[in-house]
Order: sequence, then C-alpha cells, then structure tokens
Amino acid sequence: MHPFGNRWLRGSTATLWTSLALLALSGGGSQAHAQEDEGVRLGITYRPGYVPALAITDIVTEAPFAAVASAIDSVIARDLDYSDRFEILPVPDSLRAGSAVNYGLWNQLGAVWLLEGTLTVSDQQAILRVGLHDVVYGSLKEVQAFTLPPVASPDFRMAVHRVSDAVVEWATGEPGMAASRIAFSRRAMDGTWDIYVVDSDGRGVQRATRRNALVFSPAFSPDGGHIAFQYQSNSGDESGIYDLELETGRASAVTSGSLMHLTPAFTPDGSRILFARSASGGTEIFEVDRSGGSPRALTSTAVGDALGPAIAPDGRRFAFTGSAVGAPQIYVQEDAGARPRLISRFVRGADSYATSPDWNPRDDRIVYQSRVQGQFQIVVVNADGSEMRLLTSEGRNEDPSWAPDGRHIVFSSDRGGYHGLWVLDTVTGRARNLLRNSEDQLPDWSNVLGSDP
Amino acid sequence: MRPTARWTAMAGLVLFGLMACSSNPEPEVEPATDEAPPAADPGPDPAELAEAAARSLCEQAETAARRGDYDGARRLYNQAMSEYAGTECARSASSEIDRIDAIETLEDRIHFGFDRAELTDEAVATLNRKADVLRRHPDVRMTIEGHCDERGSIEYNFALGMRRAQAAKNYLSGLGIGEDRFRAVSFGKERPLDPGHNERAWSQNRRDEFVIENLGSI
Repeated sequence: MHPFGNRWLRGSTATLWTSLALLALSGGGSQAHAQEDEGVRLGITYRPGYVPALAITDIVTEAPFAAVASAIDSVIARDLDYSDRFEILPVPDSLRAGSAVNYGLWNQLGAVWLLEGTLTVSDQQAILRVGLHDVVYGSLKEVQAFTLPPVASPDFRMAVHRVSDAVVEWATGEPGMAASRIAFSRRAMDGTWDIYVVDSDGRGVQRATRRNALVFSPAFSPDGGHIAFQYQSNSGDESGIYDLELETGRASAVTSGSLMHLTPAFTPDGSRILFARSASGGTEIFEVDRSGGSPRALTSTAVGDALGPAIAPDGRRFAFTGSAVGAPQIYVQEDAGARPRLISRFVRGADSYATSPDWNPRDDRIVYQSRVQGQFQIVVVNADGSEMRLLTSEGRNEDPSWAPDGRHIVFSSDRGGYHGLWVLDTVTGRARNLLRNSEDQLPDWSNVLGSDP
Repeated sequence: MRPTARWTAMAGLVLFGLMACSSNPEPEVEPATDEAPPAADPGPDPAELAEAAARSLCEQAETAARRGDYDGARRLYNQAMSEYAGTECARSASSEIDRIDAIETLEDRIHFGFDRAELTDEAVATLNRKADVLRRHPDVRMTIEGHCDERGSIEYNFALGMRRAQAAKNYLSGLGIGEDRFRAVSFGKERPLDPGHNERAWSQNRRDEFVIENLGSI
C-alpha cells in the first residue's frame, strides 16, 4: 500500500494534510529565528565574486494547498539563499507563473535564473514539478517532478531540501547541501553531554542519545544513517566508541574498555572506524572494523598524542592532531605506519596550537582550528600544507566540519557575543547562525542524505 | 608524655572505668510512691560530661574531615586532646590526625603548565610524599584524574588530561609503587575547579586530582 493510502485529499483529511505539512515545514515551531538572521560578511579573507540572481515564483497549486505550497516555496528560497550561490530576487506580485515565461521581462528585472513550480495533489500522492529557466539564454534548463513523501514522515522536509539541491546542481553543476544534517554534542545542566541532530537549515533539533554521560565527537556514517560517538562514563571507568543507528536509536559498542577512546571517524566506504585510544605515551590512532574486532594501530607517536583523525575522500590518507613536538599541530599521514607530515606550522601570528582537522569531502583541503593572537580561528589549507588561509577573525571559533558541498563549514563560535553553531561559506565569507545555544559543541556535517532506501 | 598529662590521662581512665561500673548493673529502682521524699540530686558526673563534650568534638571533626576540611578536623581533634584529655575521643585523636594527614597527602593536587603534562618540581615533591604514605599502606588504591583549563580544544584536552594522569601514575610506579594500585582517567576541561576565566583559575584547573578508592589500613 502506498504510504499516502486512499485518504489522500479527501475532505477533512486534506485539510489535516495541509496543517501537518505546514507544521512539518516550520520545523515543529522551533528554531524559528533562523530565517531572521542576517548573514555576516567577513571582509578580511574573502573577495566577493559574481553571484547570479535567481527569481522564484509562487508554486502553482489548487486552493486547499496554497499554504503548503507557499511554505515549500519559502523552504526552497531559504535553501537556495543558504547555498550562497545565488542572489535571491524579490518577485513582484504582478508576475505570476503558470503562463509562458516572458524571458525579456525577467531579464530586465536582472534575473539570470527563474524557478517555477507546480504542486499537484492526487488521491495517491503529492507531486512537486519544478522547472529552472535560464533567463539569459531564454530556455528551460531543467524540469523534474519530485514525489513528496507523507507529510507526517520525518523525511518530508528532507524531500523539499532535495528539490533545492537539485536546483543548485542544475544551475551550477555542483552538489548542494540542503538535504543534510548536522550532529553535535550538547551539554546538559548537570555537566553531562549527549548527541543531538539538526537539519542543515537549523530546524528539527532532535536528541539522538540519552546517556547523560560524557558523550562527545559525533561522526556521521557515509550514508547518514548512523553516528559514531565517544562515550565515557561519568566516573571515567568505562570508555568506548559506539555506533548509533539513528532510526532505531540503538547503539552498540564497536570497541570499549578501561582505556580512553576518542574522536571516531568513518572511512568513506563506511566499513571501518578510525579513532584515538590512550596508549603508554599518549593517545594513538587506531582503526577497527565497524562490526568490531581487534583495533590496529595506525600511528606510533610514542611521545605526545595522536587523535582526531579526518579521512581523505580517497580513504587512504588521513589528517590528525598530533602533539609529538610539544604543542598540538596538524599532520597528514598516508597508510598505517607511514611518516606523518606536518602541515599546520606556518601561520603568522599564531602561537602554535592547532587541532581538530576535517578533510573536505570533495577535494584536498583541510580545515582546522588554530590559535591566532590568543584566540581560536578557523584555518583552511591544502593537504600538502600550501595555500593556508584564515577563514575567521571574530570571536573564538572551533571544531570545523565541511558540508557535503565542499564549500560550507559548520563550527562552534562565540562571535557576536553569544555561543552557538555557525555555518560559514568559505567562498563568499557569509556566515549564518545555525543554533543559538551556548552548550552546543563539536558539530559534524553529514553527507547529502538520499531518499529512504 | 609529660607527668601531668599522664596523670590526667590515668585519672581519666579511672573515671571512665568507674563510670562503666556504676552504669552496669542497673541500680535498684525504688517503688514510686506519692509521698516519696525528693532524691538527693548527685549533680552531673564531670567525667560523663567531659566524655560527651569530647565525643561531640570528635563527631564534628569526622564531619569536617568528610567535607575535606582537614585543617578544621585537626583543630577539633587537638582541642579534644587539650581540653578533654583522657576521654575516648582524646585518646583516639592523635591517630585520627595521623590518618587525616595521610589522606590529605594522598589527595594533594598537583598542577601543570599550559599544554604541559611534565611534572614540576613541586609536583614531584608532592608525589614523593604520597609515595611514603602508599608504602606504609600497601592496600590503598587511587584513581588519578587529569584535568585541563578551558583554553584548549575539547577533544585534545581529553588526551592532554590523560597524559597528566599518566605522568603521575608513571612517576609513582617508578618509585616502586605497584602500577595496579592506580587508575588513570581524564575529564579534559569538563570539570573545572575554579569557574573563572583568568590565569588564576586556569592554573588551578590544570591539575591531577587523586581520589582514594580504597582506604585500606589508613
């Protein structure tokens, strides 16, 4: 039976669908501030480039679904704004879609792209048909019909985000990141920590673990369905790396014991987990099959620590935080036992303290945090140590994680006077607040989430 | 022991003995009559009063010790010894003070430089004193907790805290104290001692805490 059943669009049920859809799209009423936040532009390290203007006309639909269509519209408009690849043009009320597109008129308004959509709700399903017009060339660039899941489904908002990502890909040839989530650690009043998850637009915060212990360093599996995390009991007696299945909430120990376990990361194929574990001199990085078994040491730092592995898309190289020479620095290593290469030491004005690397999912760039004039800032550098660039300058900025589009990062920051999670576009320098909670730390951005398997 | 002190102590013992005898067996109880003349009040027994007052001091001392107010506990025990010599409390006070000294020595924190896990000279001296106690009490077991100040990153501080705990553990093992008597754990920067955001607070928070898991013969 189709998930919509036969009740789709039947009298009051249709009204119910409408109100549920609005509720789903508003993210259950929480985090309603996200849209109000003005982006903050960082001037020092960014050269604003050309950003094409995109106009979005109201989605055409039958009267009972106008509110839903309008809500979908605003989600897509926000996603495309957050993609930082377009300037979203305000559309005059007089210009409605539905009839033939007047390219000349849109061109006069300054639009480069025009997005229009139709929402059709039948007995069986809801279909959102979206077309992207290239105003300059005066032609329809792409058109596609998206089937939306039941409104009560947790995937409903994600399905709308996938439409936004498709538009980004049509216009730019590059992947979007709207259909993704961010996991993070949140501290409770009693000083314990647990893992939470939030959509890429700051809506739909959900608690993922309820251990009331020292639960840190969430790391998404490549398919986004699981999260690996570090667990330490409040007494410190037990420590381990756990694998949480998000749908069921079940978590199982991949490796655990009395030794301290830290900073898990899935390999890109999802088969193994790299993590740090205390050894005689400090921590070393190990890898273990996702199903468990004996961990195998990858580093032999002997003096100081090796932790925080960040694996390259090739699955072979990894960056990590190492303190073999004293202060922590970022190293890149190929394969087990190979000699690590220092990549972080040349920041001018930095008092030599660099940790928490994350490897770009699409290229060879690494972000990490570095102490600059006594304050943590985010730095990006090529995996060979070249082209180092400061990405932040305001406040204390920590624990960056790349978005699946390979250009945005999420990190924790107290910029603007309050602590929270922030998203920064590394191309334009535009920053937006994701969550305004002083107790949120260690964000990890998932890959783009596919539709339900 | 000075002669007077010894005499006082002995007198105390005699008094204590008499008290014990007089209270057991139960004295005969006269049948109650309406016209019974009021019994002569013997007044409070001074020895009994001294015992009660000393006992109260000992109880306060124990409470103070449990709170970690070792100076307060020592002061109360010393007061019991000087003011109520010969009481049960006063007689145990000296060994209680030794016990508190041992516990305080074992619990003494050690501190570290920023982003450092090397033991300072002061830390080494503190650990040497711990080793003396640990040798005298071979069944004592401890958890060593490494802690950091708030300035470092969260994950790295867990590793750094562990190195701080292990530094103390390794040093004590090197002095011949069995390694299996210590457990090293790290709480990173999650449990600061001083919530301040200044060098004074930070230097307090970069520390090893020593938690006695098994007091053993202490």
